[in-house]
Parts: sequence; structure tokens; C-alpha cells
Amino acid sequence: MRSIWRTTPPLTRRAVVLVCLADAVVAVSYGAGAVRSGLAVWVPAVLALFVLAGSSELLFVTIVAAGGSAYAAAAAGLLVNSRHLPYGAATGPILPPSRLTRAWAAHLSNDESVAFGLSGPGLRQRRASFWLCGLGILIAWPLGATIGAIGLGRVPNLDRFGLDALFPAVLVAVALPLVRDRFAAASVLGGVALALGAWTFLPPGAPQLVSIAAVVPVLIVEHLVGRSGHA
Amino acid sequence: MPDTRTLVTAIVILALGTYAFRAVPLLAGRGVRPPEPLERATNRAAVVLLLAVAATAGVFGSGDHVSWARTLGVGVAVGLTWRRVNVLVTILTAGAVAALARAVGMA
Repeated sequence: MRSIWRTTPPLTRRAVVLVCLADAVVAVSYGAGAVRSGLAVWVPAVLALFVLAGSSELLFVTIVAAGGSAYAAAAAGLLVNSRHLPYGAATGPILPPSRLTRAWAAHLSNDESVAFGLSGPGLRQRRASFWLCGLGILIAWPLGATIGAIGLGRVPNLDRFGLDALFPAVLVAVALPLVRDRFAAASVLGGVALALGAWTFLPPGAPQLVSIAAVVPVLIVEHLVGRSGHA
Repeated sequence: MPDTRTLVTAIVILALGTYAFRAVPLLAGRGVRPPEPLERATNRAAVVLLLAVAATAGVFGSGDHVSWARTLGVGVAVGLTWRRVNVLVTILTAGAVAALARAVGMA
């Protein structure tokens, strides 16, 4: 743990601490909201620890509280979380080959830890940033959700403090610098346009997944341009 | 509200399914170094996905709640990152801009 902390670049360390604090506050409000909507106290706490994927948990809780089927809620949550498949394909190379380490790292994979894990000066720093963020959220999210669920934390309207802007801003600040050439930029612009455009008619989680489709045509163009460049 | 047994089953399905999505690519890719073009493609796909998540969360929030104040905050984050302002300042400014925009009455 000490070596993870020391290997993570100092600025990333502070950003991770901020992300975890913000997640904890959001978790308190999520836990409180779930119980207020009629769910038992253990529901948000257990979800937070064993699912550990905020947006799918919120969706699950919202559907169940609105009287929807619990299985439909689980399916909706799984659609949101299917983005961990492509995330895992990208974070795989930064992790050590040990099966046990990877089985454990898998649970710590989320939007923020993946973003931190892909950025950093070298492999050691990337790996450490992934672990630091993953472990931090593993503590912050379930702890916050439990505190909110048992009614210890009284949370005011968080949006008033701009807290809802923090999560997307973190992803922008960490992932945007990874866009290093015009092909990557074209893929991102295409992907973002697809996701925003698909939002109104696709179920939650699907628009984000659809964004990946933008990568394929750009890779083809890049391949053709690269070949003609050699000729 | 579903009975406890149904609820527990649904939560187990969600937890195990989510874990499978996370673990399968990590365990399948164990010990193999992907060829360079594939690694570049998977990396790019992840970056596109992360920024699509940021864009949809920025515009629509966690539900279908469009907020111009939040969108403005995230837009400022894009600008600051572009100008190579550090991560911490970028994140805090984005939150402050959204909060200020709301304080002056922006939705």
C-alpha cells in the first residue's frame, strides 16, 4: 500500500484523493436516497460493496423503487456495466500476469481507475495510479453508501455545489490528454457525437458503448493513409 | 417492491455479471502481450469510451436531467485540459463554475 502511494505521481495522488472524497459524498446521498425511496438499509450497502459501479447501482435502485421488476433492473445495470469489457481489454497490459492479482484488480475497475490507469509517465506509475484509485473508491463508495443508508449523513442538494460536474470533469482531465494525434481526436469526436445522439432512443449504458463504433472507420482510414505514406 | 428473495437474486445476478465483465478480459489477456496495433486499438477504444461517458454524464447527468450549468463546468474542464492546466485545478474549477452558474440562476 505504501509503495502504491509513493509510486503514484504526487499530482495524481491529490486528484485521486479528491475523486474519492467526491465519490464518498455522492455515495452518502445515494444511500440516503435509496432508503428514502423505500428500500431496506442493506440494499445500497450490499450493492455498493459487491457491484461497486455507481451508475448501474443508481439505475437498479431507481427501477426497483419505481415498482419495476428486480430482474429487469439487474439487466439494465448489466447493460451499463458491459463497458468494463472494453475497459479490461485496455487495462490488461498494465497489470501483472498473476491470476490472483488480476482477479482482485478486476473488482477495482471503474471509469475513474481505468482513466488514471491509462495515463501516467510510465508503466509503474500507471499501475500504481490504477490501484490507488481502485482501492480508494472501494473504501469511499461503500462506506459513503452505508453512512447514507443508516441515516447518519444529512446531505444538502449536492448539485448546488457543482458536485455533479466533478465526475465528468475528472474523466476529461485525465483521459483527454491521452488523445495525442488527429486520428485519436477524430475517433473521440465521432464517439462523443454518437453517444450524445443516441441518448434519446437507446437505454442507459448503450449510447456510451455505441461510441466505440467510431474507432473502427478511423482505424481503417489510418491504415490506408499509413500505407500510402510508405508508398 | 419485490420480496427479499427476488431482490437478493437480482443483486447477485448484477454483482456476478458485472464481475464477469471486469474479470474476463483481464484473465483472458493474462501473460499475452497483445500485438502493437491491437493494443493501440483497445487503448483508443477505452479513451473514446471514457470521454463518451464524460460527455453523456456532463450533458445528461446520472439520469435525463439536462443541466446547462453542469455542461458549462465540464466545457470549462475541456478548455483547461486543452491548455494543459493541471488535473486538480481543472476538476475544482469545473465544480466551481457549475456552482457559480447555478448561483446566478442557470438551470
